[in-house]
Amino acid sequence: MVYKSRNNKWIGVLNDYDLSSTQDGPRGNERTGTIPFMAIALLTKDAIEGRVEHLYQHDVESLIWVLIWVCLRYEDGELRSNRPFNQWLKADADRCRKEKLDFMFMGRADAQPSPSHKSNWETARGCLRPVGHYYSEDPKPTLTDDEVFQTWLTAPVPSRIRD
Amino acid sequence: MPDDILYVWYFDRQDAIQCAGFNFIQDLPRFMVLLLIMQRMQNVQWGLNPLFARATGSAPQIHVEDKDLGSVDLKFIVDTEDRTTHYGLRGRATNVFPVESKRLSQLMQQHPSENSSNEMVAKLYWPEEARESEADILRKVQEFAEDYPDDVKGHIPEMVWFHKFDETSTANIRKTLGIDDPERGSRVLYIIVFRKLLPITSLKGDDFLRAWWQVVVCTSPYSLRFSNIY
Repeated sequence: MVYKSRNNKWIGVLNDYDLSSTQDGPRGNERTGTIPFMAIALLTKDAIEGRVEHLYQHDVESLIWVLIWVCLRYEDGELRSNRPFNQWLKADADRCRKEKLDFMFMGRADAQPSPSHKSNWETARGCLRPVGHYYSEDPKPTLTDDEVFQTWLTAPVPSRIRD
Repeated sequence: MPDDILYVWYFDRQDAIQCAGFNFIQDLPRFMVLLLIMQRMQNVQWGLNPLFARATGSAPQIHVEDKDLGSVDLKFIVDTEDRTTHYGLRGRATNVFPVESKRLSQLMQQHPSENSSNEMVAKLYWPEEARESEADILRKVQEFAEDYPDDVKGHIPEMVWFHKFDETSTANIRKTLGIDDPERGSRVLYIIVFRKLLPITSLKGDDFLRAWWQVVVCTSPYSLRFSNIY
């Protein structure tokens, strides 16, 4: 979410803490993500049944899916009439995982960003590239939070945005 | 109702409770008593919340008694595009829409904010009671934000007020019926009022990417994650 500050700047806000947790708090029985934005690794059967540890890299992947989502589905602040991923909204975890893998290895090459997000789409592609790399490796490397932050987020985002 | 056996089902936000069936032909008096009871049930007994029972129309108004603030007036603006709804019998059923309140506007204006909007929204939903409440989490996040004035403060939602409608707990009927472990999975109606925010999707170009990046920074290993908030 965003707001306009008193000196007329747009400020980003992380919202919706009702499914978040603090380390000492109880976690309840609900799934705590929104399927279309969840990391591919958390949409597997093992993860749904609670056998996959939730890592920072999963949150980063979610942020990247949000970026991709907005670049391809919104134009000038409105939903585009011709937008991809509609089926992701209705899909279950298993189906959505397959759709995402398909997008990562095939779909992304032909994706058509909206004109108002053209440069943001280049950033999104830059972020998705190391994620795709990670999933194609066997065995999967262990990444530190710091490495993930640097290679998946900082490096692909233009410095004029980060300053 | 398979053949001549009648089952009574009770549904709420948690799940359904099925009562043992009885034969309404062989046990006609019991069936008559059931019908006569149902005939006399008022809205409240059918599950309508008495607080909201008379609040109707496009801008329903209610008053909630708060132990610190006294009576809190709330006028929900439900007839608008500017809302998020989840309908259905079961689950959290989160609904968010604009809200007007004299008492809460006063309260909000006592706290300085970078946000230039003075409008408010209400989030009404049925969270699981076992889960740490959103209000508690937000309080921890707010406390924590003070230590990160650049990266986190200003990038978290501003909670104006919250209220838990204790009397609506789905554990109550399960306790009364003597169901095992009545607290397990129980839900309760909850309201949180926030200073209004806009969807990030309303931005484009660099404005959008900057706002997105601010969220990236505030969730980075160097800030929110640091204090084990996920």
